[in-house]
Amino acid sequence: MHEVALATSIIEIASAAAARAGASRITCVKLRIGELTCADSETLSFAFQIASAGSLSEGAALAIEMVPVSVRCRTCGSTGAPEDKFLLLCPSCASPDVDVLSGREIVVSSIEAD
Amino acid sequence: MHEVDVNANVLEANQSIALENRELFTQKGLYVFNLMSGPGAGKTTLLERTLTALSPKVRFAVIEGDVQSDFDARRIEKLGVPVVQINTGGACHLDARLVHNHLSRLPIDAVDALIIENVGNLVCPAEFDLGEHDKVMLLSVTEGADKPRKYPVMFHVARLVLLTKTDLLPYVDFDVQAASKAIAGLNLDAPVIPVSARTGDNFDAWLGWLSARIDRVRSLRG
Repeated sequence: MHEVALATSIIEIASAAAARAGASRITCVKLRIGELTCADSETLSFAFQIASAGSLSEGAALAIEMVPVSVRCRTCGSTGAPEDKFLLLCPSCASPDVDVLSGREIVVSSIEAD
Repeated sequence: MHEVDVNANVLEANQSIALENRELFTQKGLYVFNLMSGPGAGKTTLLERTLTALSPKVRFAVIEGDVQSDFDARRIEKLGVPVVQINTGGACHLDARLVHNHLSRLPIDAVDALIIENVGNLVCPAEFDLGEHDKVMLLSVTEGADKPRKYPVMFHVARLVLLTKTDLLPYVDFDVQAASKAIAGLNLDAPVIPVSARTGDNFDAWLGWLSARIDRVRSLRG
């Protein structure tokens, strides 16, 4: 449900970047979303479409790249993707004592603009 | 057409306000926790018993977040604790700006702990840092021991998990051991404390944890 809040933020970021680049229209917003976040890409695209009306992002496509979860083990030091992305166990030694390296980000990576 | 690099964190705006909030709280020696759970897990009942047990030794203030209504704020008000109600009007979570904007309505210079009761939701509040020191999560025994695996992100970010409504354990199929194991699998650092806010069973364990956190932040007063 918080996809509307995320979409509003994405539109603000994209529009500011377009304005800085002197562009008058955004054709595509490229987004990276970690698999551990609760953002649903379908809902987000729908919210983006509605919330972008009247902004520089109106009519722009939203290209979403999902970022897989990776962890570093505090027990054995190895890094990698846990077998179950929500049960964060070290892929080498199965220790639950891990730091999350990726999978929590929601980032506007770039925009395509005219 | 050309591509413009942006590389901006979408939650950055919220994050920077949250950092400001946290700095302010710590500088004042004011301990703040964000109370999160699904709707009906017993957040307000837990607060009522907590406030009654520790006031006036600890001076509290409360922010109540709900989609609509001021039912919760009225319950807290009855205890003589300063409270503000934030109605999100449909939004599923509180954010750092909302908290920041309502702080002026509370006597934060004259309290030791601020409790932010988030909107009842097991998903969205996990993503929004409010500037709190800790996220405390409730899971009631009536919800079922499978919830940690079904809603893992919330459990990843919790500093403490309270298993609530344990007075109902004889009537429900809830395996405390299995739930504690499932939570440990998601978050090794969060202790799990079973409590009943209705009977007070094991409530001292929670009050002890909370008092230690309040003391810790009070010692940081700038």
